[in-house]
Amino acid sequence: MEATVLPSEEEEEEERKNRFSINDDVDLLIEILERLDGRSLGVAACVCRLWSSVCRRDSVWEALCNRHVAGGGGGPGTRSVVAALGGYRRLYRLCVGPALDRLTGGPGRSGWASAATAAHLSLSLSLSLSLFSIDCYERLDGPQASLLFLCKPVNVP
Amino acid sequence: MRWRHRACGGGGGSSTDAGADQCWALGMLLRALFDSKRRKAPMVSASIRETVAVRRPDSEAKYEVPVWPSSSPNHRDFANWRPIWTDPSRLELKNSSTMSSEESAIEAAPETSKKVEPPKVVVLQSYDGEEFEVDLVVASQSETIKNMIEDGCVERSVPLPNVEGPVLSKVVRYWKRRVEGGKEEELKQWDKEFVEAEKQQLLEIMVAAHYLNSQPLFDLCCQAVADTISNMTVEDVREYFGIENDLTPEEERRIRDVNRWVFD
Repeated sequence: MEATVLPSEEEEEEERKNRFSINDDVDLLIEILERLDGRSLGVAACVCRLWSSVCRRDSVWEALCNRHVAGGGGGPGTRSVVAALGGYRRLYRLCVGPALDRLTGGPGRSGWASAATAAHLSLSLSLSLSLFSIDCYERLDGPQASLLFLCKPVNVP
Repeated sequence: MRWRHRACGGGGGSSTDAGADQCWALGMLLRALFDSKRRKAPMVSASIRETVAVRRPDSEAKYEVPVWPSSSPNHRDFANWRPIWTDPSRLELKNSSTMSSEESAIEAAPETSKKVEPPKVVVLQSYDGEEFEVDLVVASQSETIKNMIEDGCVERSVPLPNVEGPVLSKVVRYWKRRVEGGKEEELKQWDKEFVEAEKQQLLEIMVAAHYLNSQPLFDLCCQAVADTISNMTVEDVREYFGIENDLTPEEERRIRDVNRWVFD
C-alpha cells in the first residue's frame, strides 16, 4: 500500500516544482498587472509580498491612468507634474478612480455604452484632472498658494 | 542579465577570438544553469554581439553590429562580412511573388561559397523533442527565430529548449493564422476564440511568446490573463497562479487597510 502511495506523492511534488510560477519572472508579472483595472490592482496588492511591492510601484498605476486619459499620457513632463501631485497611485485613488466610477455608473460596471460616451468620458476625465491639480496647488503652503493672484491687474512697464 | 554581458564585453576588447570564446562559454554555462530550473535562458548572442561591437575599436559604421564567426562549420568569413541590407549584390528578389521585400532580404543569394543560404522551411524543436516543420515566413513571426536565421546560425532546425511540445503547437497555430491574414475584425474574432480554447495553458503560452519575442501573441496572452483575474478575489488569484500567501496576518491587515477604497 505504501509503495503505491509514495510515488504518486513524489510525482505531485515534482509537478509542483516544475510548474511555471509567475513570481519567478517579475517582468511578466508587471506586464500582466499593467493591463489590470484599478479595483483588480488593489486586489492584487493583497496576494503576496512580491505582488504588494510591485503594486506599490508607480509604473503600474501610470499605465492604468494613461490608458484612461486621452492622449496616452504625454512624456517625461507629465511624469514630473504627477510626481509633484503625489504620484500616479494617489492620482488614481483620489481623482481618476472616483471619476471613472462616477462616470460609468458605479463600481463593477465596465465597458462603455457607445462611442459618444467615450468622448464624453475622456473630456470629463480631463476636467476632473484639471480640478484636481488646482486643488493640489491650492493646498500648498505659502502666500502664492491661491490662484486668485491671477485676478490681480498686471503692471506692464 | 545585462551586467553579465558587460563584464563579458570587457574581456572581448583585447582579443576578438579569445573574447568570443569566453563569451560563448559563459553564455552556454548560464544557459545550462537556467535550463536546470527551466527558467528563461538569457539572450546571450544578441546582447554580447552588441556589447562587443561597441568595444571593438575597428567596428565599422556606428550602428552596424558585426557577427561573430560562430562555431558552426558554415560560419561567415568575418573579414569580408557586410550586412545584407548594405550590399545590393546580395539582395535578390525571389521569383515567388508571395514573399515580401523583408523576407527576400533575409533570403539573399549566396555571395561566396562559404555563405549559408537560409532555409525556406525550418524545423522547430521543442524541449521534449517534438518537431514542427514550418515555413520561414511563419517562423519569422518570432523575433528570436528571425534573428537566429539572419545570423546564419540555423541550417534546418531551431532548438527551443525553453518551450514544450504542446505549447509550441499552439504558438505555431497562432502564427499560421496570423500569416494567412484577413480583415481586422476576423482576426480579432479568431484571437478571442483562440484565447477561449487555450484557457488552461494561457500562462505557458504567454511565457513562450515572451521567450520567442512574438509581440502580438504576447500582448494577446497578457491581456487575456489580466481579463481572467480582473474580477477575482484575492484567494482566487492565489489559486490561479499557484502562489502561496507569505504575508503575516498583520501585514495583510495593513495592506487591506491601505487598499480599503478598493473593497468598498
